[in-house]
Amino acid sequence: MNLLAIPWIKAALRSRLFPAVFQWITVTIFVIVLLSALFGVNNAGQNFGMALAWRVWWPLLPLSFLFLGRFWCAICPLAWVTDWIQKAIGVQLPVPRLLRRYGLGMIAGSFILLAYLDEAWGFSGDARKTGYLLLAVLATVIFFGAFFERRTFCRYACFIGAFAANYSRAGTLELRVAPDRCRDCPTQGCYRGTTCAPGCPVFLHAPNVSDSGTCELCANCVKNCARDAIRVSTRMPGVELWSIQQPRLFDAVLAAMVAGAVLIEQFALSGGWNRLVARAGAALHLDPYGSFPLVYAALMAMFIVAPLMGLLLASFASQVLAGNVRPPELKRNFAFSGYAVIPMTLASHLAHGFDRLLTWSRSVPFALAAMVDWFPGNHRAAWLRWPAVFWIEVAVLALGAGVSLYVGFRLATRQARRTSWAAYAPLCLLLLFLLAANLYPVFTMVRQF
Amino acid sequence: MGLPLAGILASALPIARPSAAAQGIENRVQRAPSAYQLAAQLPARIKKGEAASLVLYVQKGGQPVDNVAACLVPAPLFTNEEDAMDTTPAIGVDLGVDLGAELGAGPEPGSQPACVGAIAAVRTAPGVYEFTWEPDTPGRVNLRFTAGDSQLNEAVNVSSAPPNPAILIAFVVLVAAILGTAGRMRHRQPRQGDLT
Repeated sequence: MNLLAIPWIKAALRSRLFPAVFQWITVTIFVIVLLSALFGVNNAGQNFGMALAWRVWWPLLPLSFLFLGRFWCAICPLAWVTDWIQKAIGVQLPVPRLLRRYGLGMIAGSFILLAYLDEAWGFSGDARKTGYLLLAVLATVIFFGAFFERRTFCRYACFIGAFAANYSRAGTLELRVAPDRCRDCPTQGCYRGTTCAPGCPVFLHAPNVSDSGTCELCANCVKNCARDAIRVSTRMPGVELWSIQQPRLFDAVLAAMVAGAVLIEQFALSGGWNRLVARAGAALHLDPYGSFPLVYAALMAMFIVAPLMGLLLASFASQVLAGNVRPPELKRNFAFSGYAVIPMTLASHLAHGFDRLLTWSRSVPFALAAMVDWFPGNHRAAWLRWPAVFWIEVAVLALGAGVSLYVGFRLATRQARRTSWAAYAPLCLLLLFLLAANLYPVFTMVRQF
Repeated sequence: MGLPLAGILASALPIARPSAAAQGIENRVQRAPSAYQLAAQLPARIKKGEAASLVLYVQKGGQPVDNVAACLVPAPLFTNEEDAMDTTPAIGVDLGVDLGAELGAGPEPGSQPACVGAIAAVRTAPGVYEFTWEPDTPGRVNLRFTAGDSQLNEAVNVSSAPPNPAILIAFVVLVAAILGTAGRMRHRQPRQGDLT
């Protein structure tokens, strides 16, 4: 369904206040979070900014990509900072070739670094560290905004891009054009901009948009298109994954890496985590607690590499069973298979997020009250009790696995140009293994509530 | 966690005598009815985000038991996020999970080997004793040391350490340098139309 066919939605997206109104809200919240992290009480449960950032925003992020595409990126306060720095003193240099070529590597690297800092150095539990991290990100954003054109940081360097692109591809919202209306367009306002709005901030030319991984749904193209060619439509989740036209190897690599990074966060809450850390420490001849950052780095590397190797093995086995093991075909199969992992990864991320959101986010109103020296009492209780959260997590994981299995089946069938169970079986096994690996920490999680 | 544990231990042990209380450090002694006498050397205020030394002395019949047990706690210790969930009024130290049992620390029979992570990790310390905390009023925590049947309860003021000024200054200087450089470059750029 084309949402722009609904008059009030179209009017809202064409308004100059969109997405500015949302940006003002997020910028205000960002300032509160930053000040609170730097100068507030150093306790994650009592610091309003910390609680809001790590227990509400972070868990809600993957959910927003699922239902709203990359709309968050359009209203992100850092994007607002970029735009304003650019207007004020921006040099508007073109994106360096190095960044265009290796930007995805930077995105993956910064995401892994953040995940590592969170768990190994306790960033999400320490307000000051969170504050320093935000300052570092802010300085980077100011640098990109001051020197490079449009939203170079958002497109080529933002750590959220590591999962935002893939989750949005699996999501329920897409922006496309009616190609017949774009033919012989003299202005190309969607890319270049018009007096109504600037051009696409992430360097997209609307007629070329064939996936939802990059578009931020900022609606600049909706404002700029004189021919009314833009469509913002709802769709079934996962449909883009099995109908992807040009699979990219790096998307598959990112999907598998993020699967590992999310999984280790889940494991860190499980009952067997201390044993795992102790064993890893013993294997590395390191004191597991004294040298925890090193031990965790090794564990994280293992968790990230394992799904990648699993995907590679599944692709190889699938090609062997299909009787075609030529390297180009293997590469293509690997890239296709990676898209099948995305719903499982998204479900894992959501399940992990629900745990924070439905239990720990209860501290947010009390932290807000504490800011004005009002202490309504000890409220360790969660919004939902443990069994309910448990079943929600299990249901989300099962749903994600189901979509992944279906996407995998469609991709295998499309690859083989017929229903080939043999070619599908290795990927199916990998996905089931991922499901089991995700369920294990949920079943053994240490619960306080 | 800030300082390496060995560094903290080395710097703390030389002052680990009741007679050598440093400035700002309070000695508290409590004679429990049972066999142990406990004394603790605590800072007047614990600042979350800064290392703090909590030293416990255990004596029996006037003689030191296991010499001196040094409890060293870099605060805060968010070793798990359940601790961080605490929303009680006290702006409390989060002293982490009970790792003592897992590490098998604490040779003292009858005492609970249930110290916090950093303390339990001090394996060279001769004894490890139970150490718990509970929130009191805002800005205070009650610390409880236990050895056998003996207990020592002390309230300590807690506040959060301010952000590192060096990091704040570095951020301001960096941003100023970026904006200054960009501003100069933009000033030198030919304006549209100047080239024609």
